[in-house]
Amino acid sequence: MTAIDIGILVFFLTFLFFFGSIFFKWVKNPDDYYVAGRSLPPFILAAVLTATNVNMYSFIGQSGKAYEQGISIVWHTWTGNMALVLAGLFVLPILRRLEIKTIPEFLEARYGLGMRAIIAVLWIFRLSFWLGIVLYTGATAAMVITKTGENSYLMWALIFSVITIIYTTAGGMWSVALTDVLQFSLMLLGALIFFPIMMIKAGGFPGIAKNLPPSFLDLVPQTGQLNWTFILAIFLLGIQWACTDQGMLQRAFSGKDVKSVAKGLILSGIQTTPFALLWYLPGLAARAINPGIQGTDTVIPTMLARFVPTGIFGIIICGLLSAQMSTISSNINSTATLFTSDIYQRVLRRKATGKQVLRVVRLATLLVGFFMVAFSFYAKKMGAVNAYLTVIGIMDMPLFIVAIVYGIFWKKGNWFGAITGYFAGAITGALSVFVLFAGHPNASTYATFLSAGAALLFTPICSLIGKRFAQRKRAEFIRSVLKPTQKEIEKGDAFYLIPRSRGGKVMLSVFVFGLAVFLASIGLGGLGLGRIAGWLSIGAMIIYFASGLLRLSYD
Amino acid sequence: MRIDWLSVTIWLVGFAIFIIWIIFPLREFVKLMKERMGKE
Repeated sequence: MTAIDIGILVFFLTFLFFFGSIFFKWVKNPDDYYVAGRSLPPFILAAVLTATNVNMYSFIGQSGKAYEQGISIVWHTWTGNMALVLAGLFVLPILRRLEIKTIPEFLEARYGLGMRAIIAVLWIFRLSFWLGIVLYTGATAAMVITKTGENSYLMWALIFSVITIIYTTAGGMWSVALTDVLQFSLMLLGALIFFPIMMIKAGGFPGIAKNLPPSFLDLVPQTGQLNWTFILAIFLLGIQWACTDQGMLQRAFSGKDVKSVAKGLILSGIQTTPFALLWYLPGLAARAINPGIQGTDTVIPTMLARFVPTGIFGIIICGLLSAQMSTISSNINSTATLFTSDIYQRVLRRKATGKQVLRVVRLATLLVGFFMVAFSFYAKKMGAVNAYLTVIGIMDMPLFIVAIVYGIFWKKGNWFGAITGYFAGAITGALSVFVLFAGHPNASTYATFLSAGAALLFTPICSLIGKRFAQRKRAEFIRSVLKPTQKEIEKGDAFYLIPRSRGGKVMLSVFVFGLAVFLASIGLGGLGLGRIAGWLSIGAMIIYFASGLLRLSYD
Repeated sequence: MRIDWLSVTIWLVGFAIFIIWIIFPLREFVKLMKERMGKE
């Protein structure tokens, strides 16, 4: 790194620190801290959601995967974006209406306090470990890109964490949200600069097509690790993530009303779709330029060091730092919220005052930050980062089935079925990965289906076996928010899951049609019709996005 | 050298998103700032 690059970096970090900290004054009560007073407008919400979802792993890990296996990894992001739209139209409006802050809070409303406490504790651990891994990957990547040597790990870990922890502790969700907007713009700017550099070096698409095997450009491959079944599995996981991930949902709950939440999610999904190409295609370009790079995570750092000139390099580094810091700040805030809202306020001290809660949540934010830094040092030594990520994937899938599928849409579900279904899904998923399909390249894909299947099966069976634990009143309460509240109707801002107007119904039908064609086109990939499947799936995805957005214009 | 229109289109779409996402959130941010300042 040259003095100019370092200067740009120092300026960026200093500005971010002061900008993030000024929102300290905006926090008057716990709701301000948890969910920014539930007053974020849709475009800020969309930027916040995107900044939370896109991190350094997207730019380095996923791009490296495109280098190694081809373009079909792009579905990792694209199906996630489609899931955001689906959640924005059908699930998040319901959860936002309940005015909850966490998914465990929803679980209490539906299944009782026991379920809330179990899932809250599991999620606090899950998010804390996840934060350690995010920090570890970020600091390691920064070390490689800037060539500052092995000894600079601590320096990078502190750069990523200290500033982020301070402003998140000070301003809570207000700081997280408004720094996210800034960070998102820088991320995009970095990608906009890097993309043309790589494409020119590779000779554009003709150069890529000439130098790579045709299978690398196959969007829906019939075979391989990222084949058509992977696309279906990752779509399912995406839906689960968009409906139950605390880091994601807490931002969505900050939306000022039900319609803003739906719009924020849909806009975030749509705008990340073309944006994703700006970080996946440089991976393919790198393969065309130099096919011999060892280790997928070193591909982009190598290219950055080789092709990006001084000054510009500093801006791209700021973009990458932004990607990581926005993810870290959001998840620190979420973990502290889980502890304070679900454990402290609900179990440890039910009558805590607003001031006490604010003090505890700030302390929890600091502690989570400390734990994140400490765990990041052990992440590499444990040598189990990938296994861990697989395990959290397995843990989340049954949560989606239990909380959303049965929690909202099935009246007969009860806490007995929910707990059994959750653990049956998690255990089945773990057994699939580590025993049944151990070492198989598609193990995670199979585990996703089996874990979902077990939760889908066990929850209703055990709910029916434990009939005496029926929770009809709770189920009816949840179903009552499927319709707009009186407040929404009075404000003239009612959001109906199934639109009442003809235009709305048409748009929703087109949306369902787009989804059906998309799923069918992925199936065509399984039959070996990759070329048709690729174009058809993109067309269907565009129809799906456009009709989803237009549906919001109708009552 | 021939222009690679596909890359140019992808870049232009990305640039358009960048401009839109500077203008709209910024407008909302300014409005939010004014509201909060008014409250204090």
